[in-house]
Amino acid sequence: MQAALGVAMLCTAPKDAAQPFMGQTVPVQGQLISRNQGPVPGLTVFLLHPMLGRSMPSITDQYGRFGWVAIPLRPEAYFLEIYWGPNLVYRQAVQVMQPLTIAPIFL
Amino acid sequence: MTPFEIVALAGAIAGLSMVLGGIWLVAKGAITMAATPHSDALSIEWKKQFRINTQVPGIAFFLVGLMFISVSLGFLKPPEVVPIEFEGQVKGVDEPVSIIVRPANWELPSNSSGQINGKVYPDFSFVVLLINAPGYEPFTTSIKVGAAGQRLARLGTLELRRKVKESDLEKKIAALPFSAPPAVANAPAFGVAQ
Repeated sequence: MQAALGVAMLCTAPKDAAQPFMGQTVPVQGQLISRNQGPVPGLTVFLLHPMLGRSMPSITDQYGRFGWVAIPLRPEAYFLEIYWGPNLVYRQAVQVMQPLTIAPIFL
Repeated sequence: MTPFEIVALAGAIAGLSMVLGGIWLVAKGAITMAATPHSDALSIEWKKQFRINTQVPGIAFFLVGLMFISVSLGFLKPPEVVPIEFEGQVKGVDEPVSIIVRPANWELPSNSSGQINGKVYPDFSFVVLLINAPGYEPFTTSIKVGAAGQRLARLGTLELRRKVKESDLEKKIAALPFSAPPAVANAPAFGVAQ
């Protein structure tokens, strides 16, 4: 259940709260960890947005870290997707309201 | 458009004006292409090594105009892009390998006032090579690339160390409430990966 605790998963956001941030961008980062093997390197991570589409890919480093430096603040939730090569292994909603460090994702 | 491009374009326009103006002056009879007496001949001499002597000075209009156009075109010609070639092999990896080459960091001069003020001259003499494969330790190295001409980076045989297998991971995939664009697409993307 650490994965459930790890990610800031909010599928909905207050409509009026996000409006002042429109146009701004913030950094988003996180870490991917295997329950048994430790940090997972080399996986491709995207942020997916219903209107903006797909982010530039970020690849997990030797510590399993990934991130972006300029993610637009939007009232709608993003979806974080992690791919092992072409295979999707993780997808979860993430609300980006401010610079965000996602708690470690355990798979 | 940069100031340099504006000046070069102005030179080209001036040259074109001289050629067209020369044609117009010839048509009007203001200048003539007929040979003048030998005593009126135009003579250009430089250090006794270069000498032009013409009895048709009107032609200088066209020559100077063409020179303006040629020099401007020469300056405006985009620099030739020399590709950088990489040679090497990644061994022992049974996963799709992604290879990224990017320039080394270009830093602006630092100051304590917090102001951003500086110039960056793009420098491709050093590039960073990143090799990634799912579950393998990434390989990163910086490569010095030769000057224009010889631009070949030999990497040799590289071996990546496996850390995690796909079967070690537990998949967790939430349903999407909208249709997602494909993972690999040419459409513009947002965010800048770290």
